[in-house]
Amino acid sequence: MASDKVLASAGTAVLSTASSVTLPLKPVAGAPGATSPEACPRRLRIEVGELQIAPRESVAVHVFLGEPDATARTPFDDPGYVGSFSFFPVAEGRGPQRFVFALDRLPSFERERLCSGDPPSVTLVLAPIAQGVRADQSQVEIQRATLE
Amino acid sequence: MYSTTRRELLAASGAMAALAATNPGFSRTASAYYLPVRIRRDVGAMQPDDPVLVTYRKAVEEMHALPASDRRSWRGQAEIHRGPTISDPPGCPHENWFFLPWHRAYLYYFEEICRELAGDDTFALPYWNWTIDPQVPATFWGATNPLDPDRWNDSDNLVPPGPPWRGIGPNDSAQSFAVGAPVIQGILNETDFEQFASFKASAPRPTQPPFGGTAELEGTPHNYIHGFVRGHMGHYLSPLDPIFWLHHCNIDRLWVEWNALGNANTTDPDWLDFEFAQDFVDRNGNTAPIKVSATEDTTALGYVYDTVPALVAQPAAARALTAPMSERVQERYEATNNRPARLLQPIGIAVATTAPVVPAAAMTLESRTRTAAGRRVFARLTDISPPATTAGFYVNVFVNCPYLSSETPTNDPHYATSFAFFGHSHGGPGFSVDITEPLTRLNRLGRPATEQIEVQLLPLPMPGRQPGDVEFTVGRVEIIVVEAT
Repeated sequence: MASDKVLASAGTAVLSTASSVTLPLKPVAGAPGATSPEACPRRLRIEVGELQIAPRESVAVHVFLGEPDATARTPFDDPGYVGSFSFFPVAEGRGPQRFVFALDRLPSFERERLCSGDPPSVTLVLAPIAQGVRADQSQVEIQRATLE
Repeated sequence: MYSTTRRELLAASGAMAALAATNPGFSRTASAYYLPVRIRRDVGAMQPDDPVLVTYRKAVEEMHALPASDRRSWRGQAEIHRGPTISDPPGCPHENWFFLPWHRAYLYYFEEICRELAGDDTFALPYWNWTIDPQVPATFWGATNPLDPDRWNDSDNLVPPGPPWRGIGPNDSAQSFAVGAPVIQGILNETDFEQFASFKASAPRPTQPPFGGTAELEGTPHNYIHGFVRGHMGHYLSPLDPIFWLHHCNIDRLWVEWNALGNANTTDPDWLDFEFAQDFVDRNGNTAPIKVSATEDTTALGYVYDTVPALVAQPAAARALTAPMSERVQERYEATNNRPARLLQPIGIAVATTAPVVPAAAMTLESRTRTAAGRRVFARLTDISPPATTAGFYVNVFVNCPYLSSETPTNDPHYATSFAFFGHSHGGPGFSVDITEPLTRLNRLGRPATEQIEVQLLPLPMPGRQPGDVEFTVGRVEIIVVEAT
């Protein structure tokens, strides 16, 4: 998990259905290699805290880099789309969870943006897991997003 | 109770029946060989009366008939997944690198219990390939169908009460952002073990650092399918839904495929040496401890998947030896040999080539899951002086491995396939082994077969067996390059 550069969000955010949250990422002081602007992050880690998922609801979280305008309608072939995650168990409980995505599948120009030293942002979109599934009452607490 | 010999015969006939059922070119009578392993097949390719589904339905009924106190019962198996309480181990590990081996062992013992209770020693779990078939299979629906959880109405206080015990219907489809081919291909392209299998944790349910982390295989298709199906599947008692086992079988298949692509598991002893001491029970209901290291090799556990051609040698062999293939031969090389192979002692037979032998088969997801196209390379082993005893051992085949030993696992990139002898007192027609996959992997690793191909044979005892005096000689090895159709 070693990396030459670490960028992270500050503070928590609550993600609700049909809304998105954009988290600015800033260099982490003291992190190994944090002053190496040419270093390229290899992974994106999303740390999730409290889940509030109503009975009979089920959600997915879609993750975008450098796309602050991303919404539930943003297509998955958007160059900033990183991936999606869901929860098991579906209901609340279980404490903090950490989801880790490899970034080497991003299009090359997105990779170049990551490597340029320009701190990007992470946008998270909460959506029903599938058509016909409700997620009106669900909330997901995002504790931290880290590029490393 | 079957004797060992009887059981072996059943296993052999079952494996051959499975091969014949899934491979029209395979002749049950033309070969007396069998694989020492069962083949896990795609449920999407099965009719309702497929013997695998017939046995699975019977097993589900038999497990429901057992008292809940019996850990082999349907309830008992689900409770293994949940654990005594939600927060206390044992129970299913998630969000860390014990996720894959724990569930592999869980499926292994479940499959064994199914075989025992249904009286079918040939049974191998099917898998649900949601990438190709994004709907819960039609064979898992119906109010009186043992494979529909509504048939049982098992109590589950972790989720909203049913029926229905699924949150979807037969026509609902899993979405491609979670289970589509590009997502799965991306996951299989990952080369780092933890980024594939989830991250290091101090224990399956860690209470101290490291706490792990969820990689994409677990967090995206795995979690998604649980959330998509919902009902029992949405929580820790998810094994109450018969589709659970096929879902995890597919996750397990992807681990096998990832290894077959040449990716290695971690060698960290904190992972390899960890023992699931109390979690599982065997077919007799006895506690069955198992180490993570014992879950690495599915061949040793007695199964392979039909989507990993390198692991399924025999049907390819049967096709390869048919006449039409001779018309498509592009190159042919051969060598003779008089050195015998003995148990646990690898031998290599080198075949010189006049040109680099590079398969052209594209390693795409589609080619691995449905068909293979391009140039394929076979090693044909003939003029065999067979062993005096044919039972209790099998042979792993490797190609051009510079460090081969009795410990080399089948997830090594040089591994090609496995075969066994069965019921023969003479050499028979020989074996034809598809070595396309290892040559492709080695080529990708920058080690193409330029001057020779060394076919290496490693005889190994079957688990729990002491086969005695094993010695046989492969007198001739041919390397045959064909244009695959």
